[in-house]
Amino acid sequence: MKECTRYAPMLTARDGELAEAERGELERHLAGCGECRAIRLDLRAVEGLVGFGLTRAAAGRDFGGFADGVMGRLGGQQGAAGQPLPSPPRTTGREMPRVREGVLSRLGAWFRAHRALAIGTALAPVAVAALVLYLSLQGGAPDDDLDVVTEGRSATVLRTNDGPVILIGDGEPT
Amino acid sequence: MNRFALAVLCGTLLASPGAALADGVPVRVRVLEGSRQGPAQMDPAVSDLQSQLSLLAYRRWRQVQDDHRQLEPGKTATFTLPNGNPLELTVLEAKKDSVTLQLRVPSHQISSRLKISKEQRIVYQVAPEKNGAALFVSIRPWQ
Repeated sequence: MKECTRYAPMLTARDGELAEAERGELERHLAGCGECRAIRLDLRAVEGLVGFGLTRAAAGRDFGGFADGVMGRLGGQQGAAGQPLPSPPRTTGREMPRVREGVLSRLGAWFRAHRALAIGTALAPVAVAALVLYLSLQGGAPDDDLDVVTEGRSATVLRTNDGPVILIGDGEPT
Repeated sequence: MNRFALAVLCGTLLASPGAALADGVPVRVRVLEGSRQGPAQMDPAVSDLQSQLSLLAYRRWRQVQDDHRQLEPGKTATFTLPNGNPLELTVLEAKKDSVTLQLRVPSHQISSRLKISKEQRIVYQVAPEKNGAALFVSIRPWQ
């Protein structure tokens, strides 16, 4: 059984992955161990099924235009001669108001399309402020406000959901 | 009629907290004895405190006293423990869902300020252990 544990990782090794000596030892072990032989056969069968399934799925797809598609997209970005992309046209001072109007109209359109989200975003700080105010009015958790003074005697506080348990030390106060 | 009902409702809502504080806070104070000796035994009268008492090393629990008082905020109420020592309890502050109490056992130099919520109770050792037994009080406001 100890031997099987040693050889188990080698059962999935592909051709060339094992050193010659290791391969020899594995084969000798397999010759004398039916259980490991069965496991290796199972593994190979699974491997074969997976390979077969992948090949079949790939065969069902048409990759004819794949390379052309990729090259076409690259060409669209770089140009036919492989030159870097030209820098975007610069905006002159006179064109700025028009650009600003465009941005504002697009922003307005976005707000009209996502009204709920826009209102929610605008109300979020108000909600956070209200929550902070509520928590500050509520005060800290009751357990945080436990002030045990035993004047020279030690005290132990055990906190439970039902309330604190306070134990005092046995010694007489100093 | 509707206006009258609304006025009554508003009056009730506004007057309730003040009235409750004016009457004081009802507090249940129980004295328990925990002992390390003998077989484990829990007095049924303290079974509601099991979650707190089970944290302690004492195996036998029995209730020695059970007292209900109406504590007025700021006024100290005195309870006499079975060992003859006085236990002083003062409601320092009473809110809608929490109470701040001052507990003192002058004979053992014990003085604590404790704030607990309405659903909670305090279990407090009020005398050092003697012959394997110790005295505790359980304080539960609004009960």
